[in-house]
Amino acid sequence: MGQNILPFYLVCDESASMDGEPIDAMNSALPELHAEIGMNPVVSDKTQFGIIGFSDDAEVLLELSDLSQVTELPILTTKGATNFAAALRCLKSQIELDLNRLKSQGHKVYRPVVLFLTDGQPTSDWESEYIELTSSTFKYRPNIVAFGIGRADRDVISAIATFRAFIQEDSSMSPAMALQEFATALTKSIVRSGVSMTKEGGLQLQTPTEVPGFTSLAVDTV
Amino acid sequence: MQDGGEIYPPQLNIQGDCGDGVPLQEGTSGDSKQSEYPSEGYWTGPAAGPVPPPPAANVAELSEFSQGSAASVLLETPNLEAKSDYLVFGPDARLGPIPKKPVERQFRSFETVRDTAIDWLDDKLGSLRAVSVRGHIHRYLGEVRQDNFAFARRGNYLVLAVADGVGSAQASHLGSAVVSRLVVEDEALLNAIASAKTPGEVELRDISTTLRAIAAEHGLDESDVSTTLTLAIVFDKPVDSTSAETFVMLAQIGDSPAFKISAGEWIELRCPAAATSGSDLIDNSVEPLPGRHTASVWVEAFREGETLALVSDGVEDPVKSNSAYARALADLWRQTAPAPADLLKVLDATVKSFDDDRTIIGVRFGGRDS
Repeated sequence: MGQNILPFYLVCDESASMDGEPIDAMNSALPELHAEIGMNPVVSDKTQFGIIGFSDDAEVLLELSDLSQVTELPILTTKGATNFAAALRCLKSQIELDLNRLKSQGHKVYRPVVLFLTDGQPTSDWESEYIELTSSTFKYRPNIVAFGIGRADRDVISAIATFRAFIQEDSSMSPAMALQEFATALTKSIVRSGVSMTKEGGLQLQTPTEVPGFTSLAVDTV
Repeated sequence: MQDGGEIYPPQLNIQGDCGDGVPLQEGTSGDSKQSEYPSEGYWTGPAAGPVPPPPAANVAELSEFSQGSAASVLLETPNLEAKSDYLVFGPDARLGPIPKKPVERQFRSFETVRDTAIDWLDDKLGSLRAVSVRGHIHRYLGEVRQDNFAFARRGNYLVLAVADGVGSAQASHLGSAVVSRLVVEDEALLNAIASAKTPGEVELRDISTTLRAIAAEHGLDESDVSTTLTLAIVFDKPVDSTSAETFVMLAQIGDSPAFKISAGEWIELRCPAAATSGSDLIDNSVEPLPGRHTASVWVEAFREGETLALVSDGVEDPVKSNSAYARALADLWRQTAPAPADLLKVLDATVKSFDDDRTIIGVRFGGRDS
C-alpha cells in the first residue's frame, strides 16, 4: 500500500569543536525529538526520519525510518574534523537510495527536507559537493534548513541553507525543541496544497521564519 | 462556544483556554503538539540491559551510553490506538478520524461549515450521491472542511460541482462554498460552458470577479479564497434518441479530478487538450480560482451502470495509492448507487498519510433507484 512520505534528514556535526555542551544537548534532545515526531499525528503518519553524523567522514546513524517503528536511537560522539564535503556527499547518495527505494515500494515522496546542524567551522572545501546536491539537475535536491549552534559561523550557516537559516542565541531553548517545532510546522506546510508561486510551478514553502531561541539569518541564494 | 461566540457566564471558563477562546476538552490540549498517549509507561525500558533514560534525561545520565559509535538509546514504541469501529485500509495511522477539539474559525463562511455534508438525489438520469468529509488532519487541528460540492437539476440537464479550497489559503472554505454554489445556479455561465468548443478552454471571468468581490467584502486577499472547481453538466437524452450513451460536459480549473467508475474500476477522465505533468516528487501546487479563470472543457460519454464521479484530490490520492481503498469505494457503485451512510463510512476511512478533506459527488447512470 502506497503512502505519501516526507523524508526528513537530520545531519549532525560530530566534530571535535562540538564537544561538550553542543553534542550533549543534541544527545539529550534526540529521544525527545523521537517522541515528539514519532507520536505527533500531524507529522508521524507522513514523515520518515534519518540521521547522518559527520566529522572526518560521514555515516548514516539512523536509516530513513518511520519513527513510530524505531526502537533504538544512535548517540552522537565527537570525533575530529568538520568535513562538510563528506556530509553532503553522503546525504546525496542516501537521498537517491532512499527515494528510489520508497518509490519502488509504491510510495509517493515529497521533496526531502534536511535539517543541517553544525557549529559552522568547516575544515575543508565543500562547494562542489554542495552544488551537486542542490543544483536543479539533481531531481531529488532537498530543501536545506541550517541550524547554527554553539559558536557557529553565521556566513557558513547562511551559505549551507537553501531555504531557512537559524543561529542559536543562547542555550535557553534546546536545539531539539527548536527542531521539533520547526519540523511540525514545516510538515504542515509542505503537505498542504498551495497556489503556485513560481513560473516553474514550484511551491513556495510557508514555514515559520522564527524559531524560539534562534535568530533567523538571510539565506544566500544559490 | 464552538462558534467563537461569547462565553457566558464567564466564570465557566475556569479551566483556562487555548489562548483563543476555545475551551480545552477532556484528554486533549489546545496545543497540537500534545500527544494523545500517556507519557508514563512509554519510556519503560526492556527488562534486560540498561534502562533507557526518560525524555528529560540529563547529559550525565546519557553519557554512560555514549561510548563508541555503536552506542544507542533503546526505545519502546507504543501500540497504535485501536480504532475498530472505523475502517482502516493498509497500516494503521497515528492520526485517527475522531476530532480532538472543536473548530476554531477565524473567518466565517456565509454558512456554517459542518464536519460532514451528505446529499442525494433520485434523478431520471440516474442516482446521485454526494458526501464531503473533513480531513482527519483538519479535525485534529480544529480546522474547517475546505472542500464543498453542489448540484442542481434544471430543464434538460443535471449539473454537479466539486470545489476544493486550497489548503494554504486561510479562507478557502469560503471560496469553495461560494464557487460551487454559484456555478450550479448560473444559467448564463452554464450555457457558456455548454456551447464551448471541445476539447478546449472557456473563460469563467465572472466567477473570478464575484470571488474577488467576496474576498474584498471580508477584508481578505483574493488568494485567501483560492479554490479549484470541477463541474459536470449531464444532458438528458433527447426524447427520440436511441443512443445507449449519456453525454457529459466537464469543466475543470485546478486539480480536482473526474473519474468514470466502471465495473469496479476507476478510470480518470482528462481533458485531451490539457497538458499533463509528470513529476518525480509530489507536487501540491495548483492554479486555482480566482487567480486562474480558464477552465479546460471536454465531453465524456457514459453507459448504464457506469458512474461519473467528481472528487477532490483528498479522494484521488488514496484511490491511486491504496488499492484496497480504491476497490472498496468503487465496489459501492457496482450494483446500485450506495446508501449515503455506506458511502460516508468508506470515504472517511483511515488511510495512513492521506488526511485531507475527501469529497465525492457521483451519478450512477441507469434510471431511478425505485
